Amino acid sequence: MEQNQRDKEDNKTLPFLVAFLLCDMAIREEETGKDTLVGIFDRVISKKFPIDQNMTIYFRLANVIGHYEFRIDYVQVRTDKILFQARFERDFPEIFSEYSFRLRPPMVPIPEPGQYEFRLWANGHYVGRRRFIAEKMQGRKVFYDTRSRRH
Amino acid sequence: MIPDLGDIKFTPDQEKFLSETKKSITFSIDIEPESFEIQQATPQGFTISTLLDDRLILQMPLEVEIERENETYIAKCGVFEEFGYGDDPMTSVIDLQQTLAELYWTLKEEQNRLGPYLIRIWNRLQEVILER
Repeated sequence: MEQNQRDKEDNKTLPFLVAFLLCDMAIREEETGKDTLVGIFDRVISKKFPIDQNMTIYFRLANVIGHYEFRIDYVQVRTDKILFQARFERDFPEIFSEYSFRLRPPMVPIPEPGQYEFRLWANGHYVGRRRFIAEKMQGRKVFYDTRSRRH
Repeated sequence: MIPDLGDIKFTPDQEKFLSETKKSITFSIDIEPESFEIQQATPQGFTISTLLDDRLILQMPLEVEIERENETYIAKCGVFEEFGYGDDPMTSVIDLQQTLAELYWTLKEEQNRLGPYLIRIWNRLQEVILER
């Protein structure tokens, strides 16, 4: 409630989440400001766990103006535990623009197969999430069943 | 033209992060030192800022309470007496967001045929929700 009151006093708008994606790489073309996302995924497959995974977190916001404090929680869904957390703040000068963010954590820990998600919060309010699934790679017999291919 | 906000870099290594920050020209991100201790991710009560319908914008945050019944999570929005259900907390929140958006469009369509209770809900929805 206190945060709501402060937002009202500051005349802050609530962010609208235009996109929230995980990918291998996000490239910004400096001349145009356009973003290109390479290798968008929602699944990580590995032979063994735990692993540390490289990834880029991309999100795009609209309906923002003024100063915002952001928080991203990286959460293991099964345990509902935060595996890491990042905070940052930013000023937005123009409400009619959309703003892109590219986050590159050096490593994203994946302790076991299961569901994981990044949760975005702005000024203490929940904005949205992006989930991915970590799977253990099955044996070759399962993935490449030669009998079913032949027949 | 959309302003270039640049990359955000962060790391669980606080010392390494600080050196990265010096190089950064756009953003600084602080990693909470206590974040490496295990924390419960979903608070029992919090506020949401969107309804997951790109035609609708919330003008003020909505308070949500999370409860668990056996294997099902329930997200409650007391103001509108609406609920969302899911296998995990944030899935129940998504269900609640979609339910509220559906409620908005349904009541908008039926606004001339609503009883007193639903008129009150519709009026409250209009105070909170703005069409883009």
